[in-house]
Amino acid sequence: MTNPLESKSSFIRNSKKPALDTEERDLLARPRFSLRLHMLLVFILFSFLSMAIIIGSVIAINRIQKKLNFVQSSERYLFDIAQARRWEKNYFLYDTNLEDAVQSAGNAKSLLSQSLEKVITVLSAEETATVLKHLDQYIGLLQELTMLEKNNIKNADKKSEIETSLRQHGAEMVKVAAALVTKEQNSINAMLHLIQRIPIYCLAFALLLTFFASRFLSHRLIKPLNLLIESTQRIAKGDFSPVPPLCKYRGEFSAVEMAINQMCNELKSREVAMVESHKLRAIGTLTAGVAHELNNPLNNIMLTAHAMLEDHNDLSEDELLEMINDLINEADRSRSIVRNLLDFARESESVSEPLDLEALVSETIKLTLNQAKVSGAKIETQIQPDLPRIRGDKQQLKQVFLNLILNALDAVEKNGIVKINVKKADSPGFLAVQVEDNGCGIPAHILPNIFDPFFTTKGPGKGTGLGLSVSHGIITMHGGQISIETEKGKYTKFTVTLPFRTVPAVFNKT
Amino acid sequence: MSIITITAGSYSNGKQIAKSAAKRLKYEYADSEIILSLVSKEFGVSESKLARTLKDIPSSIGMFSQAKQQHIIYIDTVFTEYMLKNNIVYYGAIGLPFIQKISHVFKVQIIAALEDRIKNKAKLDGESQEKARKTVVKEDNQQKKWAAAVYDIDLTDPNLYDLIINIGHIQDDDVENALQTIISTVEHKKFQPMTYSLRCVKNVAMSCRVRATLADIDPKIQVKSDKGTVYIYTKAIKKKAQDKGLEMKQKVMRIEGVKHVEVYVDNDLFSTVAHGQ
Amino acid sequence: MKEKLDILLLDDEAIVGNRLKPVLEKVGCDVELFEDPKKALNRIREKKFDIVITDIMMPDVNGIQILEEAREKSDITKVIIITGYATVAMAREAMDKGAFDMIAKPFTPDDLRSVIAKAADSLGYKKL
Repeated sequence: MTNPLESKSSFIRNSKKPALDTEERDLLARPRFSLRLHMLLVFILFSFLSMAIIIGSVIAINRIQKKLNFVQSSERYLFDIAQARRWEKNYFLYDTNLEDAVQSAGNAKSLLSQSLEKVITVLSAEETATVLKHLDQYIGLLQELTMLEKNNIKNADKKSEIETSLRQHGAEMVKVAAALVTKEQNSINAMLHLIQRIPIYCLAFALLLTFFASRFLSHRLIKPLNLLIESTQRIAKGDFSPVPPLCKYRGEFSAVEMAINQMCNELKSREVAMVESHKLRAIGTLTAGVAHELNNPLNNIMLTAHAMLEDHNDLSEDELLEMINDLINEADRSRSIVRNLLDFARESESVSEPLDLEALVSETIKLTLNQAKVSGAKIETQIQPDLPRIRGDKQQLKQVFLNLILNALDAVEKNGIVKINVKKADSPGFLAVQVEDNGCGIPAHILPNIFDPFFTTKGPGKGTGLGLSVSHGIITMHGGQISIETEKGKYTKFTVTLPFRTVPAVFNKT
Repeated sequence: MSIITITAGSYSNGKQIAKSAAKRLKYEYADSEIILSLVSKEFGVSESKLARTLKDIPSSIGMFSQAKQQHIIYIDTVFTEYMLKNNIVYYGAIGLPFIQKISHVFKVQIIAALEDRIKNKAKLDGESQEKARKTVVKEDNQQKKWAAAVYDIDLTDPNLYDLIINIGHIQDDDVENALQTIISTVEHKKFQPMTYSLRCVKNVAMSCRVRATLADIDPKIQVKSDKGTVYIYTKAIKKKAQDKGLEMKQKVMRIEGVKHVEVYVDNDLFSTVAHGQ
Repeated sequence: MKEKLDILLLDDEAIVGNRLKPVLEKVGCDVELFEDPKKALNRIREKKFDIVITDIMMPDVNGIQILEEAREKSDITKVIIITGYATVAMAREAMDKGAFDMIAKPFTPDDLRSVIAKAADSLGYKKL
């Protein structure tokens, strides 16, 4: 028992599933760098910057404060030294205040030793040592004087000698102390100057950083968004190939990308199903015609067989032979009627191959001849010779032309004419197939909808409304275009343009 | 020499018109009651059970119990074999899809405004308007849903009919006018039977007869036949396909007039899954 | 009344005519065979046939035209349609235009013979 129904039930599988997996793998291979992380990084950078500015300022201010303190103590030291010198002068002039001088010098010393470390950093260690030496000697001289005073030793020479070296040491000390103060003040000034500048530098740096960060961000945001817009427009036109990688990293956009690719695959499989269901529908239409057409050879076989059955005794050998030949020929004819349809109906994987448009269109017309007979229309074909080959899926393109021709046959009345014209298109690199009928035309108000899926003007159960939508999808996939020209009550002309591959003439013939 | 089928909404006097038309044309009158009694006689199913099958509304024919599916096949069979006779006026919607492709069956639908039908019902049965309304609307729905579920047809689809008569207010003269229209139209040559259309009826009747014969094996089979050649499409679990095909073939070959049987068994995926095989 | 029925048989399929001619001649008919519907149409305009048997789907001339012409020439002519494209609409159109009967292809010689017998009967030829 044969089972013709079995072949019908199997369905084209979506072979794109593994492709998605590879895409996924590609995606997983990309370094993970989400937009969130990106923003976080920029934010952290800015925070660090501002924190650095704050910390820097605090430190600088602190240092200035310390310096100011130091300057103060330096001034007090200077003042103490100056005081000691004044007392010393008084002593030499009026013999008074020697103790005060000693005390002031002592104060100066204690001040110096308190901030000795600081002084070393400001002055060099050598200088500090000289300062200390002078101070010590100065104090030592004063103490010597005090000793002389206590013991009431009047030694004018000694005194004047001490006086000279006291002056010398004193002057030295004052000079160094003054230098110290000036130096410190200068350094404070320099620092203040720096502190004034830092915010300006920081501002400039922040501006620069902002500029780069925003440029980088916009690059990461705007570019993928633009790509997305482009892709969606492309998808809307029926090209369901996956979108190009939106960005180098794995992140939010790659999730979007994956979602869109999944959608594309889904759409593609839907389209495959839609094409398939439309094809089944077309086969249904053709089968009705073929079934009728088959009746003729079947009738011939039936009549011949019955004639042989009834008269086999009276028939001459020649007559019998003729009848047997008739039987064979008619059986052959039946087979060729069915074969054309079977060729079309046979499921096939979508393959792109070089195609001879002339042969393709002729085969398609052959399929529709029965339909033309039923509707009483004439099909006129005009095919430009020596057209270059195109590349595409034979079955799918046949389906498109079949659909256009069946539509045209539907549109014409009895004795209508369907003209099919295959030629080079006006735009270079394209071939055009025109299907024109002199039927009722398409009213302008439904013209924008005719390529929409499920749009039909035929009654319920008569048309699926998939024909033109599917045709449009197929032609778009082949890189071609389908356009329409119509005038109500006069004609409708569909033009399908398909790109041809330019092949050297040598190969063209083979 | 023709067949007239009349369908009408309840209480639009369709039955009365059908009966009068039969009388005037000297045709035989038939309706679902007559069909049911014949079914009951031939297949031994009680008429009340059959009547219930006509009343119940499944969501689709597949939702009917096996017994009810069989009842419908029996009714279809008796109806289509009844149509082999000529000169019949048949009233009712049963079997409507089987006569669609037969050119000598003149299919008439009689329609009337709902309000007029309600008035008619109230007058006939002496009921209040509200009660009558409820009944009429309910019966309309019932008929429509049943035809949709069992035959997958929409009774209000004008494509099903050759003539639709709006009977107006269902007064006596409206009925008379409708009657005249039907009688004068059926005399039209195009409703005359011919070899081709008679063959079509025979094919349909044969297909139904085959279904009835196999109803106890599988009420879901599809059957086509032409001049004694019968094509049966059925489903079966792969393992049992051959046995089932053979069994059907043997049974069908015993039917009178069957010359050749082809059984196409499709793999029954659902049962295969359901039985875990 | 004539002895034999005059039959015009038109089908663009040559085999149909070749096989049916002997079948009809056996039952005592005069058969004129045509494959070209235009020639058949001319012949119908010339001569009144008792029975015209015609196909419907033919190039250039439709069987319905043959039917109309034959009925116009003589309304006693019985036109029998044989077609491989039988539909309800076609059947009704044919009957409406006065066809005597319609047979769907494929048919057997017996099918045609019984129709011819019916036609002969209605034409008044009892013995056939």
